[in-house]
Amino acid sequence: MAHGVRVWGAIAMLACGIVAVVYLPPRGGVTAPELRFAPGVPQPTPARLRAQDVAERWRATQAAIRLLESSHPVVRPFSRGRSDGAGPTVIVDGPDSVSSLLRPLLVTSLDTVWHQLGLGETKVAVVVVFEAHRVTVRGFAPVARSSDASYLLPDSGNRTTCGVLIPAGYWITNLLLFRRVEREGQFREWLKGSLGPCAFYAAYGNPGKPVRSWLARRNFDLALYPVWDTPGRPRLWGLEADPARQRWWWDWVYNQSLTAVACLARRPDACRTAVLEGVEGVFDDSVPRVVTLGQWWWKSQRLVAANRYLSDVVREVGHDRFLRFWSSTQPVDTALAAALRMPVGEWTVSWERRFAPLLPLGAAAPLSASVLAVLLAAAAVGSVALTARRRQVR
Amino acid sequence: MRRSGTLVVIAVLVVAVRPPLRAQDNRWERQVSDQLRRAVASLRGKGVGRPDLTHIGPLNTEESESFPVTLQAGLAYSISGVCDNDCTSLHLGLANTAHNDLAVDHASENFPLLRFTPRETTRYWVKVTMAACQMNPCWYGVAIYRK
Repeated sequence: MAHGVRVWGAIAMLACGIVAVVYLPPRGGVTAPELRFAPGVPQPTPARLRAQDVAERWRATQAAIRLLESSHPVVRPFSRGRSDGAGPTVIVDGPDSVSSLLRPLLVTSLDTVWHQLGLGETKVAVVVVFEAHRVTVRGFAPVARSSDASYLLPDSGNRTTCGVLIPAGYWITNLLLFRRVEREGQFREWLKGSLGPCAFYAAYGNPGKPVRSWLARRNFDLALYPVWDTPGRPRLWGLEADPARQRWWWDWVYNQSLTAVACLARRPDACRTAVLEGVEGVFDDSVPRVVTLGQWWWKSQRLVAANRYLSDVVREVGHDRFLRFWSSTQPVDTALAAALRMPVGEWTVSWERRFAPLLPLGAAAPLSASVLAVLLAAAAVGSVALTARRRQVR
Repeated sequence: MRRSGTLVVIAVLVVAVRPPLRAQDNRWERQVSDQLRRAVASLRGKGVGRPDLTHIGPLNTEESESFPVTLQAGLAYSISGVCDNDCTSLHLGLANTAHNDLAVDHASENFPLLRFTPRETTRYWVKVTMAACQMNPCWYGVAIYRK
C-alpha cells in the first residue's frame, strides 16, 4: 500500500474518532431533560384524572354557592357594605370577633387599591368575600386547597354584581396574628391581584358578547391580574434568578404549551393563535359564570405571562380605546387589532420582547460543534492543498 | 299546631325567596329616573296624564327584556323609553300575547316613543332592546301613559 494512502486513512480515522468523542453519549447528544418543575408524582391514571376533575368541579361549585350566599342581600344585607357605591363591598366570612377585627383593615386597603386602579362609582359593583377560617368539610369532599381567589361574574340574571371569594391564606393569617397590615405594599399588590376579572368588570363594565365568550372559554386567563396602573414587567419563572443573565430554565420551557413556546421565539402567527384561542363558537349566555383557578394554573399557560396581558393592553392603548374593544360586538380579532392599531400577533411579539429574551428554537449547531467542523474542514482543505503542491506531473 | 308550624315555615320561605332588596340607586339609574321625569313633564303639556307604569332596569348591548302590561280598549297610549348617558340606541316594541309586533320604534336612537290604541282590553308585551351601549350595562326606563 502506498505511503500516501496510509496517511489519508489515518487522517480519516482520526477525524472520525474526534467526532465520535465529541458527539457520542455520554458526553454529547440530546437527552430528555429531567422535569424538576413538574410535580413529583407518578403519571396519573385515568381514574386519578377523573377524581381530580370531579374535585375541581366540586370546588368551583362550592365557591359559587358561597359567593351567591355571601353576596345575596337577603342573606347578608348590603348595608354591611358601603352605601356610597364608590368602592367594593367587603364581607368577612368568619366569627364576629374576627370579622370586626379584619373588616376595617381590609376596607381601608381595598379602598386604596380601588383608587390606585382609577375606580370610583362603577356600573358593576364588586363584592369581596374574605374567608376568615378554613372550610371544614365532613366526609370525603375535597377541601378548598387553593389560596387563589374565585370569581362569580355577572350574567343575564344579575348584570350588576361581580363577586370575589378569597380563601383564608397567608395574608389573612398574618392580619389575624399581627392585627395590622404588615408590608403594606405587598399586601395591596396581593389584594389588587385578587380582584382579578372583577376589576375589569368594574372599570369597563360587562364585556360585549364576543369578548365575554372568548375570555370565558379560556377561564379569563388574560384578565387575571389587573395592574394597569403599575408600569413594570412580569418576572418569568422560566428565567434564571439573575435577570441580567437572561438564560432560560429549560425545564420550565418544556412545560409550556406549544403556542407559548413558539410565541417566545417571536413568531407572530403563534402569538396570534395563543391570544385568540377561544374566539370560535357561538356567543350565547351558556358560558360559565364561575371562574376558579386550578392548583397548577400558572404552570402551563397558552401564553407566557398571560395573566397580565389585558392589563398591559390597557396601559398601551388607554381607557377609551380599551373600552371600545371590551364592549365591542365585532369579532375579537378585529376589535383587538383596532384597539392596538396593529395585528394582534405583531403587538404580542413586541409585548413579549419587553420581558423575555428571544427563545432560540429549531435546529441550530452549538458553537463548539461549529468550531470543530470549521477546523476539520480547514485541515482537510489544507492537507489537499499541500498534497496538490507536492504532486509532480511527469 | 302542626298546621300552624307549616304556615310559619312557608312564611319564612316566602320571605327568604322574595326578590332582593333594592340597593341605593346608582348614578346611571338616577340619570334614567331624571330623564323619565323630564319625559313626563314634556308629554304632560300634550294632554298626557301621569304614567300608568314605569319600569327601570339594566341591559347589556344587544340584550332585550319584555314585560307585560294590560291596556284598555279604545284608549290612546303613549309608551316612551329613555336610557342613561352611555346608551346611544334604544329600541322599543309592543307585541300581543302571540308575540306579534303591533308597534315598534327602532329609529329614534335613545328616545323611542310608541303611540298605540288597542282594540281590545288584554295583556300586551313591551319589549326593550339595548341596541348600543358604550359601557355595559346601560340603564333604561320605560313609562306608559294614556290620554
